[in-house]
Amino acid sequence: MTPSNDINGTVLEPVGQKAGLFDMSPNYKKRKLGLCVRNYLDCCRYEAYRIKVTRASYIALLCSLLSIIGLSILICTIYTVRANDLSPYQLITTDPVFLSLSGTFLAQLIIGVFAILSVTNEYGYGTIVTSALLEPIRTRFLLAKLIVVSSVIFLSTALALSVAFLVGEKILSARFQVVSILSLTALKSIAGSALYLTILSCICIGIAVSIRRTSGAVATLFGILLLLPIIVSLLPSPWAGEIGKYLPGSAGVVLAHSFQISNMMSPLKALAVLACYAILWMGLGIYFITHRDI
Amino acid sequence: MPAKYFILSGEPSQVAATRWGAMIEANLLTKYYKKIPVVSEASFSVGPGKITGFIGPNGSGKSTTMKMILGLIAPTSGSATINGRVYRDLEQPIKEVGALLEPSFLHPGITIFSHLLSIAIRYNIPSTRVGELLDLVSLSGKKKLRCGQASLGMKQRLGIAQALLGDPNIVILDEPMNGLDPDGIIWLRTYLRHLADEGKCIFISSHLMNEMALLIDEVIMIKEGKLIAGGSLPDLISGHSSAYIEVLTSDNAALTAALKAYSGQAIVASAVIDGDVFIKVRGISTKEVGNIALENDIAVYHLRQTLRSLEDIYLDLVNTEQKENIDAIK
Repeated sequence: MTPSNDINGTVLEPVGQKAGLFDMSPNYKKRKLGLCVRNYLDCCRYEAYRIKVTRASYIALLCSLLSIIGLSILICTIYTVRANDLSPYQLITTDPVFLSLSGTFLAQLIIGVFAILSVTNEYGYGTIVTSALLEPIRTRFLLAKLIVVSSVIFLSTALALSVAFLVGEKILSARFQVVSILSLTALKSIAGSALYLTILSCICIGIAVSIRRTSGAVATLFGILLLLPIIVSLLPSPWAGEIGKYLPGSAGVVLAHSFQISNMMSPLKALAVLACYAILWMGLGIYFITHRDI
Repeated sequence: MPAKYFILSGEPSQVAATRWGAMIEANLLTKYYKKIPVVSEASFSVGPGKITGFIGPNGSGKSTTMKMILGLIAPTSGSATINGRVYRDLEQPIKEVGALLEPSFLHPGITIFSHLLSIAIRYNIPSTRVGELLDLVSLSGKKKLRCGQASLGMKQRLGIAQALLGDPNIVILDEPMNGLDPDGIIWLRTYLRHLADEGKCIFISSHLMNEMALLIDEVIMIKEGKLIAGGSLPDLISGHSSAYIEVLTSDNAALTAALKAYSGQAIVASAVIDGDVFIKVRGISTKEVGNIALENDIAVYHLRQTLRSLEDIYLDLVNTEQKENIDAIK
């Protein structure tokens, strides 16, 4: 349809064309794809801007950064001071890389709560109404949030873990054989831990969208990370190990180690298991957000 | 989703909507919450260039209906379309429809300016537009205030600014006058009139009947999820008014006789209002009453056509329904 001129010479554009009702052009599908990508980018910019201007997000990220570095310093110092008391077996099984990345397991709670709040705050404050008006396709809203939150978490935790690794290895180098940060093992473990926290945040977003309340979502997260391992360990011996090694926390332990631990998953398998958890929870979240009223 | 087929089939009304301007249409819109009907079979259309008021008691389904139009609540059956399309299918929704729903839509930690700017970023709206809107709602002096510290009135102003940010052709406002100061209400009234004159479609709900009477052109009345009245405001008022003329004269008896002699249709009664004996005339115009009084040398102190207010009609309609329901139960 071409714009037509009315008597006064003003260009009349049919509203329908503007709204895309009569779009019959041959590269319609291509344009539609481009539009979809642009919508996702714009939506991500919106989410990123809102994280940028919220003070609480800086506090959460700073806390996780401090806990990653702080716990690393603490654990590494204790190991270095008490190195003489360790048995030869303990000395062999001690992984300096894991020790310096041990802050991951404190930060996972803070990161998890940060990811949960990014969703449940929307419901708590009612901003979900604005978000849903801006993004009528709710899957897009959720996935854009996931992309932004997980990117922020990946970048900030990767940075914090690198610093923790450098500091930790510096302390441990007095008594242990340490590796350089540029070695493949070190990079693999740092990236693995950062990915563990990132995928965990995806799981948390899935939980948060499904539950919608901060208290319930945080309780679920703590249940999965802290209670579930205890309950599983109560099971009789072959079961406890066989089930326990597939828990998200165990996957995190595997990823933070520089060598393969016996009777545990391989790092790649651990990543795959984590991804499965994330896909399951996100699937549940997408189902709920598209099927429930705001 | 039947929505897509709906567009392709090209319903006449939808073609009209896209050709003749912005429109909201609800078609047998129904919502049940656990078998309790909140809105049942509401069908109406809101046209361009007019302010349409959506009136009803608390819990009558006003907000639910608006949320269904905006795609926040999925209707149990029926559909609501904006310019012929369901909200979900709009490519840039806030540029087609702006909405203010409830005052709790703000993150308390974000400043007023940042809140609007984030939406502008999402839809590639220039940031100068944010400044313009803050000026418009007189919040430019407070743009660095965090939303959590803003008063209800300021939140409403911000909500109105947010609704207008994309310069939409349809504006949906749910109780926008709540918390606004008198200046704000007057400003909103004139500004909405200005928008309607530009051809925009304004759909507004409120329970402030006297405000609504000053503001709206069309009215849709809802009660317990059912539409009970609709149409243009003057039609509604004249249709539901037993319009009569109040006259206070020096000689009521003479005028009564003269009026009866003039027209057989004139119904005349007397009434005491504030201690004065008035006569009430129906079926004849004020002009005729004045002329007859002049011909008969009767001094007229007071001559007024009474119309019932929107509030009266609203109370009447809502209460009649109630009475009917009680009768039905009996």
